Amino acid sequence: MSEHAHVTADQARTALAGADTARRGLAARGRWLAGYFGAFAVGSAVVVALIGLGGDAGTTLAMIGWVVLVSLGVAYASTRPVRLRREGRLHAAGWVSWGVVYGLVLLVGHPRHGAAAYWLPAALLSAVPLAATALLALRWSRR
Amino acid sequence: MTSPSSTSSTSGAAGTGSHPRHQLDDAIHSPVRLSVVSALSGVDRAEFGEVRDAVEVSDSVLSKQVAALEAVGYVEVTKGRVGRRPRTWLALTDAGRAALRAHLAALRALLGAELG
Repeated sequence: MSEHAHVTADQARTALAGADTARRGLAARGRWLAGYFGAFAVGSAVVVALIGLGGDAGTTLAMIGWVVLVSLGVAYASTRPVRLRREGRLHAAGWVSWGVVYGLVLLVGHPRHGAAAYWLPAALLSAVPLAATALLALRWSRR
Repeated sequence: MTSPSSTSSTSGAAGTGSHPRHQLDDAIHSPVRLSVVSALSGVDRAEFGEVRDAVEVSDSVLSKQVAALEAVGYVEVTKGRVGRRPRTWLALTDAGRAALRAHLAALRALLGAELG
């Protein structure tokens, strides 16, 4: 006779509940990714605003700041103990969409340097792809 | 479609009857193993200590259960270093993911059969 011959409904229910709790518990430890993309979203807005409104000094500061942020981000991510399921897809979607928006914002804004009416909304717009990815990461860590 | 559990000679899965209990997989039927496999199903990989904390077992209990799951091909263990610190990463294999799906489906069917 199978050792499962007497598995009751209560035991099955308990096993299913335990499995769900364990899955959610570990996935929740992957929520660091939301903060990671959130930080880059803020960084992107600051960088774009500095490039558009800060002149040559602002552009230099923005580039240095971005290199520092990326370096810190890579180091931080490499030490995280939990990687969310399909995290690679989130990175790909987030960074490719950000690259497109960031490139367009700089291209369109090139003749408008110093115009706050363009660069402030543009700075916020550049943050949207990464902010959306952060929200998606938060959602994935809770499902 | 044949469930991976019923084709695996190493998993010790139950027999071929039509009752849902026959589809339960011996290799992941114990609460700790089911918790480990379920926990890993929501991530690409996780460090040993994180799994231990999520499943709420001791290092030795988790080591033993992971070794059993690795032996049947459901969990992959990778050892490495982050800086100077040694790390052990755990990940669910495709076979483990399929076995978990089949096992959970059997539990749900069992629940339905018992209630029905």
